[in-house]
Amino acid sequence: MRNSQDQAILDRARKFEAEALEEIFDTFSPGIYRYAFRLLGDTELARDCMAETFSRFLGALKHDSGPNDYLQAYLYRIAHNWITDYYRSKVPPSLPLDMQIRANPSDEPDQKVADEIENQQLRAALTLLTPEQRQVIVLKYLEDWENDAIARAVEKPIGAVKALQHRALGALRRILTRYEDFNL
Amino acid sequence: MSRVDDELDRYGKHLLAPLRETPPLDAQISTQEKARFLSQAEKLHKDLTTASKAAHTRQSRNIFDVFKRKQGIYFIKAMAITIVVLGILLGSSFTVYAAQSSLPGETLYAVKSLSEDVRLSLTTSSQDKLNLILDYTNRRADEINQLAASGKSLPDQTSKRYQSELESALQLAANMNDEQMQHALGQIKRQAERQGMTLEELITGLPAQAEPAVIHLQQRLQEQVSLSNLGEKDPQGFRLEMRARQHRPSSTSKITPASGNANPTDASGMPQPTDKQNDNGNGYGNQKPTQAPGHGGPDSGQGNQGNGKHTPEPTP
Repeated sequence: MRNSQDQAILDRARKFEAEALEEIFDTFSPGIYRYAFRLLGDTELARDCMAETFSRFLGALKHDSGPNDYLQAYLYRIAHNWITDYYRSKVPPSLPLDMQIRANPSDEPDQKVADEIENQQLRAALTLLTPEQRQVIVLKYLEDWENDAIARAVEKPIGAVKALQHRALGALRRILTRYEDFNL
Repeated sequence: MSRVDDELDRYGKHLLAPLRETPPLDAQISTQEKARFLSQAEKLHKDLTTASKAAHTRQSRNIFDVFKRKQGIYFIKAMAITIVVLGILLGSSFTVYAAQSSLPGETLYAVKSLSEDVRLSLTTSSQDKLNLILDYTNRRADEINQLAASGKSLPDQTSKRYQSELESALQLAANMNDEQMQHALGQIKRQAERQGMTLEELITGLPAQAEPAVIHLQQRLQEQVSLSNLGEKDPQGFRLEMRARQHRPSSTSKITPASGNANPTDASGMPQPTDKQNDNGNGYGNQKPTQAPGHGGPDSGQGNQGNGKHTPEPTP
């Protein structure tokens, strides 16, 4: 959704026009859910994250704050913060998933299980990145955002975003080398 | 996109590829969440509307209550003030009118002074203020003439007021822009010269003991001419000089004539200088204007002064 469109619909949303709010939900909820699921790996958590994101958005409208433009960047920022808070509330994984992964992988030769193990390894590795590093690479390489949109979401210059992406991939690679079977 | 960016992009996508596949948002869940979202929005909107109405009602009620409570008091106060003001206006306007012809030492002279101060304080334009002050200096000169004609001595209060008005005229001119200042200084100089001539004639007919007070005023008028000349030739130097005079304790610089900051007087009623720098030992130390920094030329600030005798210059 382009900026001018965002401004128009946000003006209506501030008046709590049901149609505008419904349009916003329909436009952005699938992406927010997808983003949350990719990082959390759990449908219920992803649903909670999505619901809380839109609830916080309404709270901002109530207090006459929130975005004046670039609504997508704003909503993803809320979701990102929710996920970061969730990670912080959990015990940080020192050697994440090794126990699960190494439990008995050879007993489960099924490709689906192997894929799931790989996904969990990757999510665990992502939790070890800084929140900003995590945010920029997920938006870039999974959500396929352009760097200027990412820059708005993280509220940093594009150059800083690129540097963050570069460092994040390096860190992620170093973390994933711990897993012998991860396809780097 | 550069080659490095491209490679990085490909590598990033490859590395995170396992998370690309996601289950779609279940339609039923989406519908439920949307309903919850819209319901929350409706509730918030209702709360906001109710709160806004309540605030408006509360505000209106408060205003009404305050008005009801206070309107009686306000009405009584307003009536009382109206009656008093009307009484003062009707009664005092005759008094003020009658006071205009009074002379120093008479009962109504205080009313005259006060009415002049009030009129001056109500004037906002610098040029109007200047015109008014110059008119007041003419009044002072007339008063001195009338006092002398009736054989009365010059009260110290009148001398102070006169000098204060002369100073105020110069200060006003100094605060104008160059063009206005030139015009104002011309007015000031012409007035000072005319009044100087009047006092010159007066001195010749005065008894010896009354001369010094009038001579002092005449010298002050000469100083007025000198400063006006300085301002006409060197506006910036004049402004600096006026600023310096404003900060000198001996300078009679306040615009309000009744401000009482004129030179102190001795027991005989003779004005005495307080500025030691300007004191030349003859008891009238204020007769020579201070040179502004960087303005030491022969013409700067020099007038016909110093010998106690005034040689009138032709009025331009």
